[in-house]
Amino acid sequence: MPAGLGWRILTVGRLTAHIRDLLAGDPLLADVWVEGEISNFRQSSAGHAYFTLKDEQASIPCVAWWSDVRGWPYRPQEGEAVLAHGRVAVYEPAGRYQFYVDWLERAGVGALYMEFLALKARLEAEGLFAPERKRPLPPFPRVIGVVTSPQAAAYQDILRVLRQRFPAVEVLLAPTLVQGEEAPAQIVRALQALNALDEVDVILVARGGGSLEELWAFNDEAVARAIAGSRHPVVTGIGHETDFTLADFAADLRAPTPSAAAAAVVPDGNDLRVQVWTCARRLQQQMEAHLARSRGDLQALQRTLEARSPARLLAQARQQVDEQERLLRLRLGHRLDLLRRDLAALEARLQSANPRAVLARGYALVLKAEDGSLVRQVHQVAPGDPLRVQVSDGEFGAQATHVPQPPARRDEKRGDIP
Amino acid sequence: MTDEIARMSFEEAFRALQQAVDALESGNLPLEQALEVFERGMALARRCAEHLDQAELRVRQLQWGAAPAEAPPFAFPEDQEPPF
Repeated sequence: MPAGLGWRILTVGRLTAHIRDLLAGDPLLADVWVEGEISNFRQSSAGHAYFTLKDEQASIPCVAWWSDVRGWPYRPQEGEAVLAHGRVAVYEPAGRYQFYVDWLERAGVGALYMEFLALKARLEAEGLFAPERKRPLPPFPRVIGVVTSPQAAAYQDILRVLRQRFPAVEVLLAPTLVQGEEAPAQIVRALQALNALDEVDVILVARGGGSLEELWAFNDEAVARAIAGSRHPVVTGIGHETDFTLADFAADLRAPTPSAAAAAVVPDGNDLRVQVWTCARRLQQQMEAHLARSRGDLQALQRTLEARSPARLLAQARQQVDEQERLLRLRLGHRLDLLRRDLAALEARLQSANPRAVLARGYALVLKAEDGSLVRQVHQVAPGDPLRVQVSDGEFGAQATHVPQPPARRDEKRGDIP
Repeated sequence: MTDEIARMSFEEAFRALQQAVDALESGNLPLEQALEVFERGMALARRCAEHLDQAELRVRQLQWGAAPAEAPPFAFPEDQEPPF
């Protein structure tokens, strides 16, 4: 048919987009369960899975992203009948429709899985698996509760890892069956028993690898609830890396294996040894630096002290004393000179007042010899009285010879010197 | 090593050790106190190493089922009156 007016011509891209939108608008294709057989299974290095689902009539190419694949309870095997969930959409570059699988499980256990998924959805809706419920693990647990079977290899793995990494802990084993009908109730009892003990720091719930049915006890609702409700943080290590159980979802931390769970609850002893050693070295370095600093301070102080030492002060004081003494002597000397001069002046004045100086001019002093009294008046002497006469250079004896008659009442007034 | 340090768990000793390092590195302790902190820190480091080198992992097992042993009935000796 020739192209012409009236015909609408689309690009390949527009046509493919139209088909894409058609498929995307179909509610069945957006959320569909498909049963089939796996073939051509291959996985990219990033973990994405590419395979074909087929039956006798048809086949459909399938893609599953790693983010989904990692959560599957099942490793796809070539030729196995499986039940897949996902949506159908167009892969535009190749011009084909594909089944984008987000969940894959073995066919036949489908009913079990539906039950599992329903329970998982219910608990999830309840918030049992919420990330904000997850608690941090104690960095240095002392008592580790272990919920597992004492006969299991998983238990020996746990003990081996703990011995290797950090043996300074105590393991408190709450023995339990880990598979079979009795197992869920026993696991719950073990969790409750460990929760009753204050000294427990963290709980390990572990079981080695096994078939899906063997791991089923850990998909039990009571077990999941007991783990979520534990007052001590719970770490699970159940099955292999690819096994996810409800217990794992409910735990504070899910480890891929029992050994990994043991490694997750204790610190690495070698790492700690290095840290302790580093601390000790830092202490020593700091102390040495401190001592060096103190030594420096001490020397500085010593120098200051020497500068202000008493000996030096004493020398200074001595010098000051000397200086003061010198000044004192100077002033004292001056003062003495003044005093000496005053004294000389006084002496001169005294000298001038000395009666003996008069004798040098020819006067004489007459004293009565009997009592040394000075004769000032005639009536003091009678004729014959012995006298002493002092002149400038000494004295000599004399005697009164002639005494004029005294006036009246001379006798009464005798000795009365005016 | 003081009794206090000898009784410490690894965690307690390790945290105390880190505090000692911090205190010493703050650099404003007087010498005498710094020496005390240093000696305590070294003792704590030894205690931590002891924990890490401790050879034996201790393992206990909870016992199920066995009913708790009944306490023997309490009685005073016959020749003695109760003190009340």
